[in-house]
Amino acid sequence: MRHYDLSTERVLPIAFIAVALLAFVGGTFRIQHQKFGRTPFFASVNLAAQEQVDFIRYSVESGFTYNPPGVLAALFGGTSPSTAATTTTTSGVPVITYHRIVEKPDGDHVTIEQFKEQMYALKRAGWQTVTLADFEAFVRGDRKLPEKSFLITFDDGAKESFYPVDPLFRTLGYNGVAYIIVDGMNTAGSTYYLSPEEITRMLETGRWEIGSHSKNGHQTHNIDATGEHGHFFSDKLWLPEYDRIENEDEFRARVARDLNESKEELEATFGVPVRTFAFPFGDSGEESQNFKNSSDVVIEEARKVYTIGFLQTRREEYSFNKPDQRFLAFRIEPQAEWSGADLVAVLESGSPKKTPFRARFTPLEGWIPSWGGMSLSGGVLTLGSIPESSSGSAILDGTFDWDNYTLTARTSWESGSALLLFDVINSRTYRACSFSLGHVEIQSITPEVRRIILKKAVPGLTPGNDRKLGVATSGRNVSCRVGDVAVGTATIADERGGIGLQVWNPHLGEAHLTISSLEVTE
Amino acid sequence: MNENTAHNQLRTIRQRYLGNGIPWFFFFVIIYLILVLKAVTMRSLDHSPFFGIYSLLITVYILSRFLLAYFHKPAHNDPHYQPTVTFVVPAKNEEDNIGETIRRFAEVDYPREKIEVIAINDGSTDRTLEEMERVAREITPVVKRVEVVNWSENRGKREGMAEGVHRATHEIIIFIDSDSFIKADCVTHLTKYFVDPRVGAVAGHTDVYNRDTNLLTQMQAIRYYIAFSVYKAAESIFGNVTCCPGCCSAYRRAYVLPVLDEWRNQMFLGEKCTFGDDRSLTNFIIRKYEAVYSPEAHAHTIVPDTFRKYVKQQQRWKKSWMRETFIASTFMWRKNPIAAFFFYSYVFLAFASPIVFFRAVFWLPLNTGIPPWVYFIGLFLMLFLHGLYYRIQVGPRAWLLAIINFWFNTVILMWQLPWAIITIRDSRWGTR
Repeated sequence: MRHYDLSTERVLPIAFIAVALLAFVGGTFRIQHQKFGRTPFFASVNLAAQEQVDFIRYSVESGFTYNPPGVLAALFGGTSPSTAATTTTTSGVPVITYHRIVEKPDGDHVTIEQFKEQMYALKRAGWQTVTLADFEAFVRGDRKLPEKSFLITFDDGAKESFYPVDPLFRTLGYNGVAYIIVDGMNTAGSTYYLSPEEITRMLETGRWEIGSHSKNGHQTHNIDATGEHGHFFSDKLWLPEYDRIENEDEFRARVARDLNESKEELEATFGVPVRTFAFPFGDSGEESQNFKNSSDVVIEEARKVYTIGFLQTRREEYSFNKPDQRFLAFRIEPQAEWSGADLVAVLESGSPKKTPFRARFTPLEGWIPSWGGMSLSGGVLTLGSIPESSSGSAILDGTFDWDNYTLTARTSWESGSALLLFDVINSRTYRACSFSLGHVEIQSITPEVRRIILKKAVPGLTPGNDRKLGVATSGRNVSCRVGDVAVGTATIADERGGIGLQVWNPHLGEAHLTISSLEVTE
Repeated sequence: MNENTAHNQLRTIRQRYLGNGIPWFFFFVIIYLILVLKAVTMRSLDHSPFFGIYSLLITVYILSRFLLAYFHKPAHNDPHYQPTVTFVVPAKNEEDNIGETIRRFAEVDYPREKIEVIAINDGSTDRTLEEMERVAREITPVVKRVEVVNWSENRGKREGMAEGVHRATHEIIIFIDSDSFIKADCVTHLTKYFVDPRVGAVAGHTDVYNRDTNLLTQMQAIRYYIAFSVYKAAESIFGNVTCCPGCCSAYRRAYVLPVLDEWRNQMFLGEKCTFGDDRSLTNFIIRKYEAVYSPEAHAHTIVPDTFRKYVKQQQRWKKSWMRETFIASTFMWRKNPIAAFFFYSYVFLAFASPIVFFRAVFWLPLNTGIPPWVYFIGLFLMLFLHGLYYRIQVGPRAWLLAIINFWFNTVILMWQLPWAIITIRDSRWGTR
């Protein structure tokens, strides 16, 4: 007597169920792998859930907070109706950049809540993202873009720069660019970096483009025998097998290889063109510890491979990017403590300014201190050198596009020279009228040289309080003005550029300049 | 197959499966989740074979119980085979229940002239003896023979059971606990298996009588139901039920007699064995014969209703499980290879589970920061699977709460095995 029943009618249903179960389990892993690559399973489940929950949450929230009619469209259509296209074009486009968008504040990264607030604020203020291709064409000078256009980038290709962001972009109709570290995405089982499968999915949304953030250049490497660390793209690395650091050729070859390989691997993996590069650590060689010319080499090599190399905004640069800009582009990195309003204010302070212009010297007007000390209070701008230095300098953001204007300022300085800057390309390349005891100069400054174009004695010109100084530039003609009188005139190559202020005093730490009013007219 | 039987079969299938369509669906969803969970954890365990094997085995073991139980086939009832039976019921201080227990022996659907009743009063200090004698007088006219044995000194349950076997004159001995109640068709469904001469013991299906007392008894109701209808059914496939419990089991007297004295005087580690009598006797039988499970032979038993009593009972069971499993390990390898594989697997799992628990709940969180939620979810899913099965088979009860209760209890009960090993020779809890 058998105690079991293996008749067909008993076996068949269970066999069917068993096969179905195995198929479902197999299918589950297949789908997981297709969508998340080698991301660990539970992390994938978490992310998938987060994606869905966030999208629904953002759709509903955004409906209430910025665009009531958008709710249904967002829930069912995917994007909210875009605002009517503005007809005015802009002369500058800002790029903002993030790394990860984190869940809990870590003092370093923007949190999901803040990011959301920042994006809602930008959307409400009328800012609209452009694609990387648009941005490339813009800086090449091939395409006009509407006012309040901007680009968002995310460095590192971390999971946390896609999953918390994409549902929000989907609701707001924004798009972004992810700068991928090739070695990062290839890290098996990473819960930090996006896997290639996830990047593919990201590209398929149509909301994302990618660029290179290097292959292996985002780690620090040994630069001497003691184990001191330096940046891949700015330092000659230590070669333990030869007991020395790289020579210039080896540095150049290594950097060039990484620039090329990262581009090639990304293009081969995703079948999309990769034409832009974001420098790891925002360092294209300037932070070098052991190779003074690394910046030149790195940028020279990078330009052979890419059309744009992204850096973070620097003190010496305008915060927006403009047409005919050469290779490097600059990005504003919103800080962990910025509110949405802060970010909007920062973008507004960098926005192209119009003439006639009258300065109010408010903190968010866009005065960028390039060096020395700068303070803004009571409608007065004060520049001073810091101890052990001889000058202070500031430029006005958003003025890069100005041409043919007259700048008039009421200034107070005690000794040395007060300079009104014009044709400012950046804080290292500009022209200036320099006013000092008994004479004016017209100078042309580049990083390499300060050239005196004109030096003219002006008897009666003395430092002091409330001096009215000015500069007028019109075509190739420039004149420096004291009071309402042109005291020195020169003819130089026509150049477009903004304004700035500077003070210089050979006695270290004594340079001091106060500007109580500033006006620019056509 | 003619049209009519096909139609009937369809109807049976519909009733049996589709009536519980949604719970069954969730049942398989849970299995799916378990398989996914296991596949994931297996991947991450490839560097530690011990835990990998544990993870794989526990899943295979539990799912195989359901699968084997599904294929279990109860014996057909042969109306011409009706052996004589003896009920043996030892009792100590059971004045409340003993009367009802014995009365039911005379109410069974079985030829009364084939029924013998032997009740042993094992030194009760209450009115158990009076109750026995009263009910004995009541049923004497109905059945073949009734005998009440009175011991003024307590000798232990095993002695009582052995005495019953000794005095019995019929072919089949049915042991009934003094707090268990049988249903009328129980005898037929127990005896029908003995038509096969290989069968030496048959375990009836025992449910919890006091199920609705509290959450603890509800939890035990699920445990009992699953232990019988899934785990014993699975063992029964190979005629290898490892414990035919004292509350309601039948033994062939001819197979018991040769081992009776050996069983009665069983020693382990120099101590006389005073508990786990049923498991021990089953062990003697399955050396040579088969022990099977009869899902149709219904009885009810009263279970502990306080946590303290429950833990004591479980501790006693764990100790006897330890002892008898050790003994069974010496011959189980000669049985059916599949049955043997699962037997030894279970031994491994039982000993490994506290280690796995310790690793998942303390070691990994403290040393690597990996939280134990995967472990707890896995445990919960397994218990949930059992609860759903109970819900499907028995109907909507307070099963979910009971399962959650079970979940917490598992954590406590798991540590009883190591504790039982430490205290194996301490027989203070031996008496019931």
